[in-house]
Amino acid sequence: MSIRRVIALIRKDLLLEWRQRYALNGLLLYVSGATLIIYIGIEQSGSELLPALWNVLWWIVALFTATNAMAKSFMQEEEEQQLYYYTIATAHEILLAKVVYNTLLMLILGTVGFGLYYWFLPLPIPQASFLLCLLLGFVSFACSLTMIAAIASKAGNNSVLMAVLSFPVLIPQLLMLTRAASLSLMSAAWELIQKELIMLSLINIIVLGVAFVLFPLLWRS
Amino acid sequence: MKKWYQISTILLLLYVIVGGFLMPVPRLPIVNESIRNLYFHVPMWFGMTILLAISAYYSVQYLRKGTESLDDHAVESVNTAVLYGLLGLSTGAIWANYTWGAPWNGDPQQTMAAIGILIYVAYLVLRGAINDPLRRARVSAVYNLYAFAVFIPLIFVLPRYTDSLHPGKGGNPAFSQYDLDNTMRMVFYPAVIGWTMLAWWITKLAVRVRQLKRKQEEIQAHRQIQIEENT
Repeated sequence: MSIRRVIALIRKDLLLEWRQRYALNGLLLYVSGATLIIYIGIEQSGSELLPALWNVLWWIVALFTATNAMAKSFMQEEEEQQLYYYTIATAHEILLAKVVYNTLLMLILGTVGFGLYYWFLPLPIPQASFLLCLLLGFVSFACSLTMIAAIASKAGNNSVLMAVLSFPVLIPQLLMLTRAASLSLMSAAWELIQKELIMLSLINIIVLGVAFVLFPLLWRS
Repeated sequence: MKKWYQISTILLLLYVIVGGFLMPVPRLPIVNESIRNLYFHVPMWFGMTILLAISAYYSVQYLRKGTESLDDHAVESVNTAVLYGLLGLSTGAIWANYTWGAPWNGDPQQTMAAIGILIYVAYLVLRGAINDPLRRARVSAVYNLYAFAVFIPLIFVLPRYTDSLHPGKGGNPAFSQYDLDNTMRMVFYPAVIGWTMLAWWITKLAVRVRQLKRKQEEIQAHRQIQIEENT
């Protein structure tokens, strides 16, 4: 494994993204659309948005944004192009590059998305630990969805399949994230939040480890 | 001699059904006689988890060797496991209706089990989406292993540290109490073994049906070619 090649692959993905700006623009539109719908819905009903509901709605927006963003991580390249990458880099390098790139993309999208969400639907955030939940959430979406995107791309780039495969796998992480985030919104003790976040990180490590073992087998086919 | 597996499965399950309904059970508050569901509901989860482990084993073997029959075993194990999971959910729901007052209570263990089944239904959907048999076997084997890695913490770790309505959790009348009871153990252990053996029997039969169907299709395709050549 050579770091230089990994960096080159990440740069390639970033450059492709910067030229087309398809994911960035499309997804920003997506986040702002979803946020506006929630905002209008809440305005119309004339009721107060409860913190617990606010939290769940945000994670749903984040989940859908993440699946849409990650779904195309293996779709934008043609079969022939993938064959070409196969000859110049090992499977582990490609997976690592995709994971890092997806994490970066998710951090940017998530930050802007949360900014929009917060701007439309402001809510006092009592603890900085909420930001930590956000950060860890984006990273764990990127980690587990990269492998799912690879599997979906091998099954003929079906975007319905991406949703079907990723939601059940993401639910455990999402459960822990929403719980940690709502604890943080209720200004709970740090120990309680910490427990959830440590569990979440452990699951991420397992998922990444399994992905690294399995990806070469998938990539070869 | 050859049929020892089938005969012992049938005998074990007959014993479990008769013993499960007729043998004495301890009287615990809330659960009362419904404690007998232990012999039918809990073995479903044992059977499901064991079959999923077997399926993961076959997927590993498939990725190493690439024999079609290994893939057949992996799929059919998942099929039976999903069936057992649904049976586990429904036996649990019937029981919960009497002891907790409603079939679905949003209990963490119930939710996790439902999610676990969803993961494997997604595996079956994935198989349906790929036409090329070689690619289907390979990609689904990879997903199967990935799913298993998520499933294990979901079932064994997450529900452990949340409060549940299940017996033995949050101060409810408990598993450790039945464990002390030897008469229940005399039925519970054979029940786990018997139901798991039945699951494997179903799987083996389904694998054979699948393989025979494939052979039949091959023969038909062959005949079709011969007819076309003759005309």
